[in-house]
Amino acid sequence: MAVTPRVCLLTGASGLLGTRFIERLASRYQVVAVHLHQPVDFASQDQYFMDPLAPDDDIAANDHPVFTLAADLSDPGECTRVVKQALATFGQVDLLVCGAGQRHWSSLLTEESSRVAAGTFAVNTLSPLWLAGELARQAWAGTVEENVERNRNVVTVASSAGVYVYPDLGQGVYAASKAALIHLGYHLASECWDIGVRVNTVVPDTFPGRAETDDVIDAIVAFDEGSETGRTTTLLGPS
Amino acid sequence: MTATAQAPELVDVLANRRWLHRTRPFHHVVARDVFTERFYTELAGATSDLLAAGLSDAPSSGRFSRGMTGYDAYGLGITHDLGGPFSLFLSPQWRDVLSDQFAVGRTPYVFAGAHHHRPGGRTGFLHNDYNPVWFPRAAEGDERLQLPDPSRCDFKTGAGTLSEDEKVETIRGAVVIYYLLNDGWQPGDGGETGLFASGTDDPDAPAGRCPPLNNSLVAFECTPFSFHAFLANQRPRTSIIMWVHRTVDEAYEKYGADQVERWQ
Repeated sequence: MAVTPRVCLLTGASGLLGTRFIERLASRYQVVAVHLHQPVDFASQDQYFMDPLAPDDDIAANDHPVFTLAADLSDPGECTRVVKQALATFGQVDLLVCGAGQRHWSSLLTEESSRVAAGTFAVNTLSPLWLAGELARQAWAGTVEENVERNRNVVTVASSAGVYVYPDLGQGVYAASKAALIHLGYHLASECWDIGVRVNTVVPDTFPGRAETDDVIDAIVAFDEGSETGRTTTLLGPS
Repeated sequence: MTATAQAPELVDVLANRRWLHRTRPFHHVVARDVFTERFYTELAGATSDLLAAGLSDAPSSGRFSRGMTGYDAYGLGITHDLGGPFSLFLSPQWRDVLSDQFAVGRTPYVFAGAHHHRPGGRTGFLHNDYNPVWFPRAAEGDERLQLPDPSRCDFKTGAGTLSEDEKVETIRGAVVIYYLLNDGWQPGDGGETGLFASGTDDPDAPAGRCPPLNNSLVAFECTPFSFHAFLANQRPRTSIIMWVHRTVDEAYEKYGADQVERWQ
């Protein structure tokens, strides 16, 4: 009997983390890849690979196409549309991975920090809330048993900057948005418990560099496969 | 460089055999890490040597020079005499690859050049490259691809010393832009090739941006809808561009005679 693949709604899909996630896991999940302007470099519903020297040959990279959605997640209406389209296309979402992030390094005392703060919080902190809320309202709230059976969950990707203060690097707005995301995760976990959905947060140091991108993905997968909720996995580089 | 250098076998220098076909905003192909490191190094070195001769603001043989209307790049035509690694771009193999990506009928008519933009280049105008181009008619049995020869046959009008039988009008069929010598390019540096859904789009808001990453390419069929433009750059940008050309009959049959973008 064919097993229905887990549907993973992945934000930040054309970024470093999203790209590596798809590279490793497109055969394991049906990935709904949400990106902003930069399209993903994978086979999808409207793009495919071809061997320039053997155009008729099959290419393995076409075997597991992702489903792409271009969206500006700083707009709550776009989050609503993303969830609606993912559910309309696949009928379910089993894993929400919030990997989209925005960062601007500047002193909190500059006009730039004031200018980018709302957008940074919208993408980094609020879009996980908007997406999880939409999933709950459009699907999960009415399928509690199925949620438990399919081990549905949310994994957000925060940052060690949300836990530790790295002073004088211009990270204030970014760090505050990630700190808020970590705390939001605890509350989301508490409330989603009632509908059988788990919520956890990965808190990595800078990757790649101080932490490994693959370790971040391993942590996401571990949460997806596990049974924990309201937890964080912190991945720190050498001190 | 030697004029007798033969083009390398594509199978030996092509590192990436997975080229990605995208359909938005129009059908195009992108690929990164296109050539082997060794061939890229050779190509980049040869292009650097040409750039070392300096840029000219007036047409100047053998140097990157300015002369393209509405386009502030410095250009240098790639000819068979240039030889070296550039011969790849004038090889039947490369012509076949580009033509076959977009089902453009193979003809012996190609044009290649290198472009260099100084920092501060302005965003270009939106255009589709669906233009007519005149060539000296290729000789039967000549294995070398035929390049334009403006000294005998004007590239845009066909005017010149050749008789009607000695020249041929073609339509640009497909183009490939290959990026090199753009070390350290980052988002925000500009110099991308912008792709647009229509010719009336805002030049500053392309539907797609192809970054000028070293050893990467973007290619597309030249159609009435393949609107694109160079995007303003903050740092130097260098590329090699090459077109294959299709017969007028093929172009007219596919898109209609009235769609051809005649030179202004």
